[in-house]
Amino acid sequence: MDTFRDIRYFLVAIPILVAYGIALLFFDQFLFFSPYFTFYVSHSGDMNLILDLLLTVLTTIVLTVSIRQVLFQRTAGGGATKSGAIGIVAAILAGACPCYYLIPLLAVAGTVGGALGAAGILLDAYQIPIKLAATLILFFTAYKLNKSNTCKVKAPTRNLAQKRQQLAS
Amino acid sequence: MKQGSRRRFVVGVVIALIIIVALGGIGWHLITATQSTLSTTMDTSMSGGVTAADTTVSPSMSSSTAFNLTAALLSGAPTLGSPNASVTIVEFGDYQCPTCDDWFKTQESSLIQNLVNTGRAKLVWRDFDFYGPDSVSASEAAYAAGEEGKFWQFHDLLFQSQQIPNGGWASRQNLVKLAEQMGLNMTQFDVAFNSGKFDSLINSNHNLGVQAGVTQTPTFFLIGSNGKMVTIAGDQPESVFEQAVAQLAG
Repeated sequence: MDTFRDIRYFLVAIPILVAYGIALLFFDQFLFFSPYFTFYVSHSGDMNLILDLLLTVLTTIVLTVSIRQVLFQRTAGGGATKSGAIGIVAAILAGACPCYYLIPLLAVAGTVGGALGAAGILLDAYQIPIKLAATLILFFTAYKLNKSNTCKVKAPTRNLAQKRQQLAS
Repeated sequence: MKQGSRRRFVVGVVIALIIIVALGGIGWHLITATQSTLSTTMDTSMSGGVTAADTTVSPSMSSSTAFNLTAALLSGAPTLGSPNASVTIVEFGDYQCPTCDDWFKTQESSLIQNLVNTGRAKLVWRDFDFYGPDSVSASEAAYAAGEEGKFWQFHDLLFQSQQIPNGGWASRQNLVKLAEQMGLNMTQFDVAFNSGKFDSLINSNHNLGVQAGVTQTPTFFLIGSNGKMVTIAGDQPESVFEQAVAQLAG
């Protein structure tokens, strides 16, 4: 959470949150721009909406922390940069989950038949389990990022003790 | 490039990419919806005397041909409501589509009560079957029931019975059971259901949907008596339909 105390990262997080939020809500038919701007949650859409909001928040956290890791922790060693890069990939794959975006396109492709249409229908039918899996991936990534952010100082206890003995003698 | 400016550049690129991807997707949807509306509003003259046969549309037909999409949308399909209603709501749907089912269960009854029963609009059903062969069977069964004057009752029963797409609930055997459950004349139903005579109508409905720019189900085309059209794509609330009908009628 230290990342968001820095105003620069807070400003990075806002467009990510807004863009992902709008995209997910639009493609899941909670937000409509045509013919009128409408926000509407159907009775069966509660779970989907909760997952969309959760995915949006988690994606924003993971992506922002990952960007910070990549850009400002290079001096901390390759591990921090690597975990940041993995975080970005995980956020894009799980949080943004391109499969949701492709559903309408696949459905159109399905109008002429083929495996793409079938894939679109399958993804649409199982979108809640897919989103739950994406949420778990993002939680795990956020946990790993937080862990890699923690400074670990290993005190050279044995050498120090030896040095003390040497000094004492 | 200094390290600080490089960092800012990378952050900027990442943010820009995210925004482009999100807005690109939304833009794609809006553009396809707009194109569909434009291609239909360009040709809004209401030619009279259009028969069911006129709804047969070649899939390769482009919007630049003399084809009158609005007239085709208005003709040769089951209609609920007063023929004199000033606005026609043409729904493209699939009986196996969960979003269509959700709209049916949450919005359709209010729409019928507020717009159809009051004579402000009439509702037209057109098949846009893309979920699989069971969707086509369901459409055939509904039309077979329609021959006994019970199209809309069967249409409602199909949505009330909907389960997982392609899970067998709309198999031909189950559709016969639904027809029995509804108390249809089974001899008449079986003949109509198995005749294949609705194939051309179902195909032409699908082609008409493609021609009109349907990219998802349900998609609704609201057509006013002056030929103006409003497209409503997706599981949108009934209040949006009321607003659009008021706009078209006004």
